[in-house]
Amino acid sequence: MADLTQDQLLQKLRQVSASMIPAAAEGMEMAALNVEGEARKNCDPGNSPYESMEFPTKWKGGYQGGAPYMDDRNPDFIPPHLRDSITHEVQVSGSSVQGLVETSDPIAEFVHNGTSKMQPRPFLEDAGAAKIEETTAILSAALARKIQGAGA
Amino acid sequence: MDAFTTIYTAVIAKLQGDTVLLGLLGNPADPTAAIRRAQTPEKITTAAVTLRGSDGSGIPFSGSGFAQALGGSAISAKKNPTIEISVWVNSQSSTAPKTGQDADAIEQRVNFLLLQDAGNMIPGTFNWQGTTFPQSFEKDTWLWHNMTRYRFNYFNHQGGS
Repeated sequence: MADLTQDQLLQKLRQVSASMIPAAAEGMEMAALNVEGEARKNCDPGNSPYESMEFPTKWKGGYQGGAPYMDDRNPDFIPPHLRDSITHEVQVSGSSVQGLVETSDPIAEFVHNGTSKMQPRPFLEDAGAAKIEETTAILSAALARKIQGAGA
Repeated sequence: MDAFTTIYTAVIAKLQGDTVLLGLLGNPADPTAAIRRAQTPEKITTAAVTLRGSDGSGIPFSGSGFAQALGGSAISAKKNPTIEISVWVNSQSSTAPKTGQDADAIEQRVNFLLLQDAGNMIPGTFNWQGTTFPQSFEKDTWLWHNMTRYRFNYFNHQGGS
């Protein structure tokens, strides 16, 4: 087989790169689900790592003017509906594959980042950090399967 | 003083010593009160920068590193700690800073000092990264709140000669 020209080689690499996107998306789906599980665990009463931390103030579970407010009379920990609101999605745009673990719960930002009355409990950020090695392994395995399949 | 405490103290001192940051905070009479370790609950009436840090020793919100035996009793551990920095601005203040934009400007200055201040980084640390979260507004306290979590590395050597 004749050697490829520079242009032909670039074209080949682009084709290989494009063929990897579905595999990357598939791997990202698994990786994001893995992080979502960790984030849910972080918000799960009885399993959350933040329960050993001292919180003089807890979320009362009320809303004022559409925003949650904090009160120190309620002994509840992170409300379970926050755990149940956590989801994930994978976005593919061009050659970019992005995994998102998110919640649309209006109290999430206050729980995650803390308030002037309450320590932060960064359940999403910590989940991503805790699973970073597994995320890398999952993505690597997904791409490796594709490469090996292409070579078969 | 352990290595993390030394670094944490250096971070606070760097922020307290920056005249630009102090200007953005309204030139507080006591920089050590305006830029300080976080308390819970906070009683914030004027703009403040508060810090929360962990070296990762079993604390949930921090990372961990690896340890390597160096021979004898010496161990070198790569630590991956977290420092959370909150910016608080009271929207009911009569003078600046009092807006969400003011809080953003303060946060950007802190970001610059910790991530981009080439040649003047915190000694003994490397690989600083920051994650900035969306600004929030506390309706019950009238406070704007910006929060960034910084992760970085340092080597902690123990034992040996």
